[in-house]
Amino acid sequence: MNSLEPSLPSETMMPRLLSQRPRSYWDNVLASAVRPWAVKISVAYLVALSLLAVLIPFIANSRPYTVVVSAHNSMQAKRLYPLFRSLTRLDLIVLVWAGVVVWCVLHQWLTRKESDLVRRRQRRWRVMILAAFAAIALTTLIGIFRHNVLDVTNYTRLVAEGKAHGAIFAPIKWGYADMEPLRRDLINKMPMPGHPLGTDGQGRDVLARLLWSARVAMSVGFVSQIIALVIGVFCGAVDGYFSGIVDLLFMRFVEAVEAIPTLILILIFVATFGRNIMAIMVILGVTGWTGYARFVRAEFLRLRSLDYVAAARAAGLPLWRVLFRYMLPNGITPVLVSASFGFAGAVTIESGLSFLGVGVRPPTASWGQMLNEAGNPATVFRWWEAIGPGLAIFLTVMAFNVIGQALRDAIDPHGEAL
Amino acid sequence: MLNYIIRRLLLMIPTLFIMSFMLFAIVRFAPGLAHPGAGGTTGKLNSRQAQKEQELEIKRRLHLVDRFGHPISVPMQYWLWVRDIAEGHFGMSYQYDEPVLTLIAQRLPVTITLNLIATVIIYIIAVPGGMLAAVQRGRWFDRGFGFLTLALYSLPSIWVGSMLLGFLANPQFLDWFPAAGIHTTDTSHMTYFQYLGDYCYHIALPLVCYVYGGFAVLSKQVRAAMLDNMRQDYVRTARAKGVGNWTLTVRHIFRNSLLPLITISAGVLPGLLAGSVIVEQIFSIRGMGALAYKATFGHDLPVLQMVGLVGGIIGLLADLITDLCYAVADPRVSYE
Amino acid sequence: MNNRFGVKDLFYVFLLLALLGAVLLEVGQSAYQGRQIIALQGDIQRLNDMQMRQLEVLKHIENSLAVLPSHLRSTDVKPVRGGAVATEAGSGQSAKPIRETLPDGSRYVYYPRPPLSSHNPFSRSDYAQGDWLVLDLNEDPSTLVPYVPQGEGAYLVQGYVLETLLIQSSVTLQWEPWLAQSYRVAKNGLKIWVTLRPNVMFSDGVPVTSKDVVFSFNTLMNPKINDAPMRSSYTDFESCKAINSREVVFTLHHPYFQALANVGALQIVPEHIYKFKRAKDFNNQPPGRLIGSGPYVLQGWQRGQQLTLVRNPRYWGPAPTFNRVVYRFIESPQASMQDYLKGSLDAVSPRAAQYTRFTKDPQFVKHNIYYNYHTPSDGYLYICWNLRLPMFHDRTTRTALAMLVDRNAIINSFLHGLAVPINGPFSVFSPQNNKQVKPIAYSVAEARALLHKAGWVKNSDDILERGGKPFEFTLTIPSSATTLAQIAGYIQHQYARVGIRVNVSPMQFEVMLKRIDSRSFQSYCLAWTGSIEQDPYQIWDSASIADKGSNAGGYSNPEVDKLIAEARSNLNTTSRMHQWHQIQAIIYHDQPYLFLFQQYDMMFINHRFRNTKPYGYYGINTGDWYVPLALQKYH
Repeated sequence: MNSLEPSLPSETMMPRLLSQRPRSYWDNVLASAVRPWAVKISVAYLVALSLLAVLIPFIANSRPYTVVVSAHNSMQAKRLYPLFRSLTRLDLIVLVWAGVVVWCVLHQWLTRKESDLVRRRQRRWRVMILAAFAAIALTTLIGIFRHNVLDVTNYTRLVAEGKAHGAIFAPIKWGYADMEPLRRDLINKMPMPGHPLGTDGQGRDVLARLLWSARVAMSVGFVSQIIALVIGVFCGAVDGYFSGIVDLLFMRFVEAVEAIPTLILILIFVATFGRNIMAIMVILGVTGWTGYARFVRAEFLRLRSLDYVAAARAAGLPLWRVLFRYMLPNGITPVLVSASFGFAGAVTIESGLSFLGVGVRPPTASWGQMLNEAGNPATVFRWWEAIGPGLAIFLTVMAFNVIGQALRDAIDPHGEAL
Repeated sequence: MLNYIIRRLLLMIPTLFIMSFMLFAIVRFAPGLAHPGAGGTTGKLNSRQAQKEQELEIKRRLHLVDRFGHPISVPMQYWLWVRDIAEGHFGMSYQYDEPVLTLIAQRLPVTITLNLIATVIIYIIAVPGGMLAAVQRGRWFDRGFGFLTLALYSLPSIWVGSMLLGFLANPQFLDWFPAAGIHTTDTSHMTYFQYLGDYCYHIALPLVCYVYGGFAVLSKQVRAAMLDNMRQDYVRTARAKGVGNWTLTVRHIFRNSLLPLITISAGVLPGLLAGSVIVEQIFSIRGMGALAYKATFGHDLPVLQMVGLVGGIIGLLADLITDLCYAVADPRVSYE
Repeated sequence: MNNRFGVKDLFYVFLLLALLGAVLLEVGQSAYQGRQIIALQGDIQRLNDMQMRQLEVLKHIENSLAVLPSHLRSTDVKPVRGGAVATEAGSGQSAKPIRETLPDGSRYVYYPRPPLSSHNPFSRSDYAQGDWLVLDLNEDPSTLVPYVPQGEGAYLVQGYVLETLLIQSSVTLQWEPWLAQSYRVAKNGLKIWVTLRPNVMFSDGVPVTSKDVVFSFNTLMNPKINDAPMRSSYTDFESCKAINSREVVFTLHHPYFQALANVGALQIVPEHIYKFKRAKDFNNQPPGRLIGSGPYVLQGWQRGQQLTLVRNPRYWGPAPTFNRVVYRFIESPQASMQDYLKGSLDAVSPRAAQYTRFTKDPQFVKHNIYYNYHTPSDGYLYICWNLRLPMFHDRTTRTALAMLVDRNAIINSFLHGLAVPINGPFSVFSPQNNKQVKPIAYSVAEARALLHKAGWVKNSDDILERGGKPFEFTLTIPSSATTLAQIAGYIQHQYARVGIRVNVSPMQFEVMLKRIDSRSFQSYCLAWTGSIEQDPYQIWDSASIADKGSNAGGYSNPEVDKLIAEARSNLNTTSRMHQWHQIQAIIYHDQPYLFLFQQYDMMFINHRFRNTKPYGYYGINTGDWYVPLALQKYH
């Protein structure tokens, strides 16, 4: 902890004095963290997983992108777009937010050459706020005007029976809840052509469910960590700012939350407030913020004892301005290290909760819930349903841990602990 | 030193207060608190009068109303709750219709024993592993070891548990291990050693689930502590003096690295306790974790509350012991 | 600082931890059970003391018995091995049961000897007493104190220790005297006289008298005793009074068809053991305090492990076959299957999937006895529509909803064919069931037509709509049941096919019950336990709608109400069955529930047992099982 010296944010304090385009401390950290091949693979894996989470309706869906259906009573054929028509509200909202994030990242990338730091920062903020507003507005619009369409036409059969043609199907012809309940030969079957990972107890395609689960895992991790981050950074900052008796009491609170075993605390919340995916996100956020708070608090306490803060105060800047305007942005960058581990933890806990049967609601797919179904003692052990989800959780958590560790090594080359 | 200990203990009081109030509040304001529980699980119907009586009785037990059915104020409720706990009345479980204290007394030893055994095993395999990695720093063994520990750390216990149970304790594949419990159902005719052997046979698979994660964390710590010491001046001095490599590693570096290891030992336990919910569920072990799990499904809030409280107190004690160990063991730390 | 911690110290720490672990293991895990056993043994010890004191009493009774006419003496049961008949017929001309209607119109039933089960093994050539029966329960009961417990397991265990006045024949469904020797039901059904057998006694040797019957009744009816579920079926009773030391009379407020069954099912407990001053003392007895007149006595109970019942040496009736009955508590079905295959369990109830898998294995089939059977007490699964909602208001829509569900397909796909569809609120295997009711056939096309007739049309989102409101509802299911989740998934799929959106919401059972009580649900899926003759009042009468009654859907049909009231006070079985049939036809026609199916029971039994075949209305009766001498395993 004592070796965080390089994080002095001196560049941002006096940007105009520098003639060269400066590389921030964070840029340095990133550059050195991404160097190992394991990290590159991890980043690639996570990007792919995120893309999968966003684009999954276009990848695993029983409805074709487009198809020409000949109606039974009239002779004229009609071109339909069932996949696009049946996109749910949630699908669209996820798409919108993902688009916004991509836009922001792209913008950052495009403006990286800008030499005027202050202007760059202003522009970036402007774009981000604009993007957030756009996303919120679009979400509201979708929420009001979009209805979820109920379309259970079996297009595969239509095509097979010759009642439709010209269909373009998604790469995987199954959604997460599609089943043929009346066909016993499709229930509980080992891998076979058409179902490369077999089917589950309700005759649903395991591969499709495996891929759809990525969305649950990523969104739970993402949302819960944002909630935890906001609460943690806010509490930690306020606490580090006030210190003294507030700090003393607040730390007792943090201790109290941390002392109760995480999973049991979460189970108490689940038993009390019921279960659904939103509640799980919030509960994970509400119970997972203490690490961030500790981190930010320590950072604040360290920073406020530094000479230049004293100098800034002597120059007439109020302490809160120094701390919140200049310290906070630099204080939270290292927090992203714990965010990486936190994300891994959230994925683990979500899968654990779903495994215990208190996570997502059926028919939503989740890795943990699939594992639970696979090993349900009341039936036979479906190894084909257990291997995929387990591997997926493992790889995802591993990727986050690799990145987190690389970041930490870059920040603090001597700290070796996990 | 005494000062420090007293201060540390005093600081625990507000923590304890906050924690207990938190647990009290979550459960107190939960919907469905005074519902008569799983009485009708079998589908048998209670008469309405009986149901009302039962509800009132539960409210009385929870101190929501007094003897005459008048409501009690919230701070007073909290006070009565704390008083009850202090007197050893932990409330009644809805599901089992037994005192929560009895349930916890039944289950806590199972969980704690398993966790202690797991802790010992973790130390036994992690210390040599971490040492070796530190000595071999930068070589292939160290790299492989680093990767292995990270992988083990990332391995979800639900997967490991399911696969072990599905492949090794299942007539469908290999029926090598028992699928559930920590004992054969009939242990009455066993001698002590048979009993112990039976126990070891039963806990083998659950232990694997407990151990691998802890091993990853601890061996990393060992390696880090060793490396930290290797960089110290005294090592260079010793080398210059001509102390042999092996002697140096074992007698000097390792000894000095032991300090953090001993102090974190208390911290290992709470982590394992949380993990026991999943492991006990997979292997049907009737411990604290399984109790919490069943209580979640049965909406058995008094049990959950108390499991949380006991877990929390164990966590706090572990913190305390860690700090005290550190204070006693490390004269370099000052406590003012 | 140098010599603070060494390798040696580290080993000491490990040693200490290991020691601590071993101690905790030993102390923690056996101390608790130890305490339980000690508590139990204390009880048994006290019993023994009491027995000494009562020896005198016993002698006195035996002397008085000697002068009684021979046909009133007990049937003498000798524990015999091999071919001999177990029960010697009591000499005398009145050995046959008497059933007659007395001049005052009351029905009189007299059995000189306790009735033997219709499939009793005593005359089999290889019949032998001895051996144990080891079974499993998935959780140990919280208490075994009479009347108080509510779990399935406790009732099973109590059945070996406590006895009832009458027993119902599994085949003819007649109530036959057991602890009682005769009973008489008044013509108007308001009074029931019961005469006890002269020679029955509790396991401590104290005779069963009318005082014990009155005590049992009064205890059961005491509102302060935690026995609400059991007490609720006795609400029509006014009193139970002793006439003399062997006769009691039960009085009712109004005639009720189940009055005799309730009298018959009353478990008789010894007053001298269970006498209490405050109700709290009764409720809070040690959980293992279970003493009665039954063929077995509780010998030991290791909480969480096993419970042992041993033969009652003083048992007054036909001697039971097994020396011991052991219940082991095994939570996971996989583990109990493992134990069964290893031979440490003698019988196990497999899940449908296990049943199918193992019965396909020729090796298993050769070496095990297996049954799937059905009894009226297998519960049935249903979906309750909240009839207050406009979408479920009309019968046409509800019929269409029923038509969309192919129950046979569900049974074949998810339950391995081990269930049977039901057509109304009564069990298919009960005499109450109306075989004339025609099940609604599965037909998507017809359902579409019906929905159209009911005014539902598809909107632009492909969802059915009526009066501008889409046909969309939530189906609540208990979250712990995996089969229900599968079925709900199927129903969701089927309804979606015609344009009805169903949101499945798994909920914790208690929360769900609360929702049902407050009527804040749209539809839910649950099961009712069945019985041989069920009283539909609780579920179908419109009086049960108000005040958290069990008529959660709000079904109300004046015709049904009238029929229920008539049938309930009708004591003539034949005409009452006819009334039930009518009720079933009306309810099925109205479709307030989507009636799904009744699941079979399955059982695997170790090959050494004989006479295990399920029969009659109870199915498996372990009382009839035996193990031939050569095959006996435990001695």
